[in-house]
Amino acid sequence: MRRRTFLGAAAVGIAGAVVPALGAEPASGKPFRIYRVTYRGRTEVEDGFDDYLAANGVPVEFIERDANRGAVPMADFVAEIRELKPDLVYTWGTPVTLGIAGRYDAKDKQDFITDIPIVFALVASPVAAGLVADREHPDRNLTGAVHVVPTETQLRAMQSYRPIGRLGVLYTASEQNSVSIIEELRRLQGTMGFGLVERQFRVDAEGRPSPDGIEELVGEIAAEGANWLYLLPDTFLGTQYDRVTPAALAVKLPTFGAAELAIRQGGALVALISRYYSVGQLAASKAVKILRNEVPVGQIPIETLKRFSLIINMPVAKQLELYPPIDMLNYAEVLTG
Amino acid sequence: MSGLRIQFSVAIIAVLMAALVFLSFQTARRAETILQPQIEKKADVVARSTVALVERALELGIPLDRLEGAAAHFESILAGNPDLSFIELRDASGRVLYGAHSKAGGEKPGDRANELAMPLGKVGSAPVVVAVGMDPAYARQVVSTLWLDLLIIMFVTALVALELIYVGFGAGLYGAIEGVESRLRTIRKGDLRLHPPVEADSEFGRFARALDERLARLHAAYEGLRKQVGERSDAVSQRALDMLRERFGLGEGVVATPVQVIAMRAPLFVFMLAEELTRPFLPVYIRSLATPIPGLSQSFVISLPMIAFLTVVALAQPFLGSVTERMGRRSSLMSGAVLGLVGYVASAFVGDLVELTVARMVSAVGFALVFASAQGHVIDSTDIRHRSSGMAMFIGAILVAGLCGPPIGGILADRIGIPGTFIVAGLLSACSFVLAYLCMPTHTARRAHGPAIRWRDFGPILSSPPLAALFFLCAMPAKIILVAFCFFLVPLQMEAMGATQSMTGRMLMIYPIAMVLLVPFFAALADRRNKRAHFVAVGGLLAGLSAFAVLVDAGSFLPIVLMLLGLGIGQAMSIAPLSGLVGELGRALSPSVNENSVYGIFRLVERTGNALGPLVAGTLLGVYGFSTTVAIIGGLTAVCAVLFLAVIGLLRPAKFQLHATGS
Amino acid sequence: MFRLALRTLPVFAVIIGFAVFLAAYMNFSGVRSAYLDLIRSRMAMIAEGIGGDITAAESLGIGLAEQATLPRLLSMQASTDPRMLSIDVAAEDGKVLFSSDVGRVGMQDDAGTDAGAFRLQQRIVNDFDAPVGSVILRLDRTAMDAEIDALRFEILRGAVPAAVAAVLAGCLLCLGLLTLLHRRARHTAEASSGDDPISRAAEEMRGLGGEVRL
Repeated sequence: MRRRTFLGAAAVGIAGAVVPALGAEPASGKPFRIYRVTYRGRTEVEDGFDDYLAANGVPVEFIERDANRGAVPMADFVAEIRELKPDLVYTWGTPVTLGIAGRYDAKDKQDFITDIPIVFALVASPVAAGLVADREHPDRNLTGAVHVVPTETQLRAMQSYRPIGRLGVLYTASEQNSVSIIEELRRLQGTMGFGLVERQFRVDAEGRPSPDGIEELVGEIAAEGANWLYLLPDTFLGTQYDRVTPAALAVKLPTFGAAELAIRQGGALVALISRYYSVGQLAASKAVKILRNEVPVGQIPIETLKRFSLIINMPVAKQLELYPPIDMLNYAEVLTG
Repeated sequence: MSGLRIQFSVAIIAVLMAALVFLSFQTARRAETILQPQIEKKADVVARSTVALVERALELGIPLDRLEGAAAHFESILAGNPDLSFIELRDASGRVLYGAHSKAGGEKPGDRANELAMPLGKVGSAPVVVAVGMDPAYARQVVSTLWLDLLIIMFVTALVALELIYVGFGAGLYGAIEGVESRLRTIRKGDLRLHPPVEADSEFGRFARALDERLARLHAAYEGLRKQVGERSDAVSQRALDMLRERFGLGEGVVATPVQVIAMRAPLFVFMLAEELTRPFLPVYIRSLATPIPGLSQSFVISLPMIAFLTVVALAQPFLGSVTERMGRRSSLMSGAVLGLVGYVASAFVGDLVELTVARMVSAVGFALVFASAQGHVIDSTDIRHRSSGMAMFIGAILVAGLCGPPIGGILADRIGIPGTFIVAGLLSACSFVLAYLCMPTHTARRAHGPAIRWRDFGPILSSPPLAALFFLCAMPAKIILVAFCFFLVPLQMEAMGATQSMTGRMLMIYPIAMVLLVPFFAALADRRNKRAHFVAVGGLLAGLSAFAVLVDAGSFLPIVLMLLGLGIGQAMSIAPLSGLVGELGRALSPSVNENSVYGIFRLVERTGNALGPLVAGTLLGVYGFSTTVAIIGGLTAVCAVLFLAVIGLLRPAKFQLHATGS
Repeated sequence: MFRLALRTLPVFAVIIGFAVFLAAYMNFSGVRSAYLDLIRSRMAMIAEGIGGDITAAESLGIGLAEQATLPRLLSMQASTDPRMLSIDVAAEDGKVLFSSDVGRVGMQDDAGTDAGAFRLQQRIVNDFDAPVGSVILRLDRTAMDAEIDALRFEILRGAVPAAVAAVLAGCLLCLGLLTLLHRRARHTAEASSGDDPISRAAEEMRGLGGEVRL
């Protein structure tokens, strides 16, 4: 839900404009220059980023670039950055960040930017991607904001809506991210005291996941006594909400989404997500620390948000006849239609 | 004046209690008028926010009968607001749909006077009401929680003030009243010995003089009769006269009433009060300053300043006897008070553990000086025969300070903070200085007594089996368990259980109360029955076994109360017989051994036990946790007591049968 | 006896009087704490409610400065208590962005010069725990202070009769005890009855032939 459309449009229009200086200025008196590379065009992350800078009185001039979902080679951006020498580079998502900053242990650092500070947003697992060795101490020219809500936090949100007896999960076996989440769930079983029902998407002849038999799989999960279905951040699952959630509704199985899409369009009952806007603000807070020379970039830890947004889908709740505890209404966003 | 003083105490405390009851009723009424409107306003805010929440739920389409977690939500509000007694959601007929009630709510819902009902505004269907109940007894509850604090403050204020009666009355009048009382007491018992004279300024002084004259005439007549009978060589009459002497003490010496002893009681009491103020919070304060030292557990680190304090006291004690003698008891007590003042004020402002340890060590030197000066004054003012009653007064002052100090310290710490309480302790030290200046005599007749401890007596004393057993199986464990429990473990545990400092201070009163009430009783009993050694052993056993009370229920305060009670009773049983037994065995040991040496080494052993207390407790606490540590220390004490009993049985039993008259 | 009373009774009077007033003061102090706690908890509840609304909007992307629904919300909350001077929402630097009292908008909020108000300030943090501003509730202090002063006056005034009664009773009791001692002393010193041990000892000595005059 884009409530900032007017401001978003204005921001796009003034890309490269100067925001009046209210606070500290760079030594030369000119605005800071940020080279920004987005992946699929402007998103709310950028809105949050820009608003934070404006609210803190940081004068900035943006050099906007877009990777067009990977169509543009990253090397082009690297070359341009070397030429323009901005004060800061901003990257959106793992592919862009890997392409511009490179792995921390890359042998040939020549292809990547290593001397200009880079702030990323929306990298799900920087350590797993090889961008840094340690989130607390990046020890390189890279830091940023992660948008993934820790699994344990999600389980606790689920628990407070309705206690988890047995958790059902449907995932793609070939996705490394999903597999590691399943392992984590298995570990959390013991400490949090719930049962786990796992199912994998069927694969077709080429080994790619197939939407075949989703309804049966969901049915099996419900039959084994699961009382929640966890829609984990699995890429394939993210394309199949329109089949999974109706199937779950049909067997009266409540669904918990880990991505904003799952609940806004996907029909999940409840989701705990990082708002892109806030992720942008968090990334901007790190950018400000770098631009004002308060902390060297290698010592700024990579962080996630401290507070996440809980979204409840009321029509689904009505259909399932499973209403949220009323004090959740104090802090959750409720979708009514 | 002890009899009269006790009567004054009872009278004043009774009057204060009555005044307190009256004040509390008045305060409760006033409290209600001022608190009730605020409670109503708060109930209004609670009702409003609840209404808003329920309205939002209904707006979103949640049916009224499907408001999940409503009761739990109400419960959490009640938990944070003790002045509210219930929150309910009712339908038009008054039927409760969801509700939560606090335990204190003795009011029935539906009691309109104490309830605020607010209807939901927006939703059309049926008029639904949020009702918030206010606890009408809240004001009373506020006042009653004050009651316990006040009771203790009144009690303690009365005791403290009565200690200072000496100053209020003036030495002359005090001495005169004391003189009259002791004369009446001895005469009533049939002890007709003479008394040292008192000032005759006051009415009581004149009575004392009159009594003295009667006694003097009696004694003169006796002397005359003796001479007569002697000239007559009348054997029968001689024997009759001897019996008269035995019965009435005619011709005997003078009853030494330790009037001058009292001079040290006020400054000593006030200084000890200062130190006892710190008991409830000292370990907690140390912990707040402590930085972890690698390799040592945190509890051990906390114990370090306390060990330092007690070690300085232990080491200084043997030397200060002669130091205070040379300096003069008054000057050395005043110096001690100054050092105490410096130490306490410094403790309020220190920033880390090392500085606190140094401040405590300065206080320790002050403490040792005051202790030694006061003790020396007692020795100066009494002769051997009445040394023990003078000492009893000395110990009494310390015990009463130990009784009054912790609760005051706890309450002060809660209200003005720990550094503020240290400053109050400093002020008390300053008062002690002033009192010593005013009350203590500048010159006292010095009694010639030998050196405090002759170090070559160490060997024979410690190698004598009965004395060694007594020292190391009874005296040392008794101090270890006392310091470990009362100074270290209980304050830390109370704080961990969430108790306020006031509660901790009250808890620490249990031991001194037991001691103050029971020591005289058990001391007399043990002496009469000639069973000193058994009393020591049984007392130690009881003190040790009572530690196991804490294993029962870790959550409540009752086990700690029982443990401290058992400790107090057990030590009350053993403390006086222990001291007496030391003297007995020392005298029986060998004539070459100086009795002073025996007592000196006894005190040294006790002080070492003091210093070991936090060491043992700190080490064990770091490894095992509270209950197990208490059980271990208690168990070991009990085992030592049993071993001592065995030693009594095995060693020449005759050695332990002591005659009352010989003491 | 009168001189004796004059010397000793003031001591008791001071002790008892001091103790009674100490008790009264502690009573007052306890009730005052309860009173202030009630007020503070009520204000905290209001502040939390407002803060929660602000935070929810913040995370939806509406920055603090843009939350146009706030003025109405603040006036509504402030109107529930006639003694509420104002409810403000201020930015991090202290500048008042919204207020139930329109005159305060744009002012710099300063706790130091705000002597007439009883204040509660609650910080608002955003999703990554960075402060974005605060909610400030200001209650009229004069009425509160007047109530507290009245309470103090009444409790202490009520303590006076208690103190007087206690002092009288205590002094009388102590005087009585002293008088008892006095009487016993006189009795024994003047040997009015011949029954005490001194007289008995004298009797026995006379029996042995001695001359005893007491």
